[in-house]
Amino acid sequence: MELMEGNDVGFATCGDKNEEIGIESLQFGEEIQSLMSVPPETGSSFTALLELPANQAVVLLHSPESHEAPAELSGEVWRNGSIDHPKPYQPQSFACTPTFPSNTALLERASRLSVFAATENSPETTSIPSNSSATSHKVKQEPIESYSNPDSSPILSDPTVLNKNQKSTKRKEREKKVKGATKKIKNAVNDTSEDGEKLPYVHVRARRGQATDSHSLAERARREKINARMKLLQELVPGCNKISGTALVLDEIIYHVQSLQRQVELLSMRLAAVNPRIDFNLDGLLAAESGSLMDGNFPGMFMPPIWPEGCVNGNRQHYQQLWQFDGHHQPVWGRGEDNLNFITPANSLLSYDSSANNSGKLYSNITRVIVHLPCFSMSTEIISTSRKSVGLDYKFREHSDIVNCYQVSKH
Amino acid sequence: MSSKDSHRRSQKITIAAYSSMVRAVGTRRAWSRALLFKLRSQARRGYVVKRRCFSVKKRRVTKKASSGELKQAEKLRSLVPGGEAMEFCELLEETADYIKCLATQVIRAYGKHQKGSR
Repeated sequence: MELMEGNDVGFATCGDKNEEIGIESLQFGEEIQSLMSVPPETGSSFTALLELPANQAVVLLHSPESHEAPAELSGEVWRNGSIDHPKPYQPQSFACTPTFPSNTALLERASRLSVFAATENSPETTSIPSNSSATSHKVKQEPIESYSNPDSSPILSDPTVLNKNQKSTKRKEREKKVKGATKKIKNAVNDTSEDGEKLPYVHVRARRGQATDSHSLAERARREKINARMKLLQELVPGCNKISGTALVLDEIIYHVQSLQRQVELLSMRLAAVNPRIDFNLDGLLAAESGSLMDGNFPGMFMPPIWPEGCVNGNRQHYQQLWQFDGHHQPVWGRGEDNLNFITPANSLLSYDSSANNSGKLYSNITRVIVHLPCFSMSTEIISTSRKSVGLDYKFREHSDIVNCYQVSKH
Repeated sequence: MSSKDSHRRSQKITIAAYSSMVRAVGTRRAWSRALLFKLRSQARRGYVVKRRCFSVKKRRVTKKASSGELKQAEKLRSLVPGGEAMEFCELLEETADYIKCLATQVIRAYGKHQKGSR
């Protein structure tokens, strides 16, 4: 059920970091384009540096690396054992890119640079698609590096002052940026200093300018979980997309659930009135059903997998585990051919399936489960006696229900 | 047919509707497990239990209420079966699933109703 959480994978390897940086820098590219309107605060010398080609950028990147001050990283916690390796580690670890930001400060400056780059759109945007993702990072970083580069002494005084101003503004802009694709993991350590140790904890990535307490991180993770689910609910409930604010959306959801429940009852009443065929002897049924889980004395209705396999996702295994405790696990593959024609009316429901799948793959399973509920009120009796909660795939169990429904209607 | 009988019949019908829905879902959802448990205990007892013995779950609910949860959350908890014992996050997830399930059932029931009336 944690699909929405992204990948909670521990960043132990440098390779993962590469991917992460790559994803990030792709985002930087987008952000650069989105920040077109940011006024340049750089001096003319800086913009000249932006036009440096990529290889020079690489050189510049390497040289002033040691001058990075960890104190700048007030808001950013990027704890990864591999990231905190000193510079000499670089060439061995990150073979895919010549230069890799082993310093968090570098990346922070890269983020700041993305605002700079807005002014010089052409060199940046052309460089970004052409270079690899990591080197695009370097292109952004090299003008920053030029600041701290002691070689550029004539412009040293100005850029440092400018740097501070830019830092504050970039910090605000940075906060707005979303590090969407970054894998979020829990951080057990609060300090932002760059140690060389490799901790066995799972690490999280705090956004810049935000608190890095473990509590606030946990709360943030929880809040994001809740927001993701609210978004999904908004998609499900019609007319909720325009509403902003949790309380009103929840009101809509409540109203929707109530109306659906009323509709279900109304329609079931109507169906019962129209088809008073089966006696509703449910009390005994439900009591017996709990005991009938181990029985195998009903005609086995389990269909071979005719149902389309298209929507199998990770939830399947998760749900399969839930099934294990229901009873004995013997799939009964009986009467395959007889029931083939029963599937065809149900196949028309596949269109609903596909539409439902779009609304969230977490919940796509449920529609396939429910689609065979046409005669729910009528066939309850048959369903209860013939249904076997065995450790089957949920798909195949659905088939049994379909068959049961249609067999009832046939009788 | 007296009013009591008709009431009992309508009660049975709604129980039938929900139980078939729940059985289709199975036990993979918290709400379906809760509803299944409720229906089974109802059948065993032979009557509908009034909501009185939820003291254990209420403890967690009141804790949430005192911590500033929205009153919509309480309402939602009362609507979604098994929602009393869920965290807010889990509650939202179960609500989404429940809505989808109900909607599918309504569509199918309506379709069958239309088909039957022709």
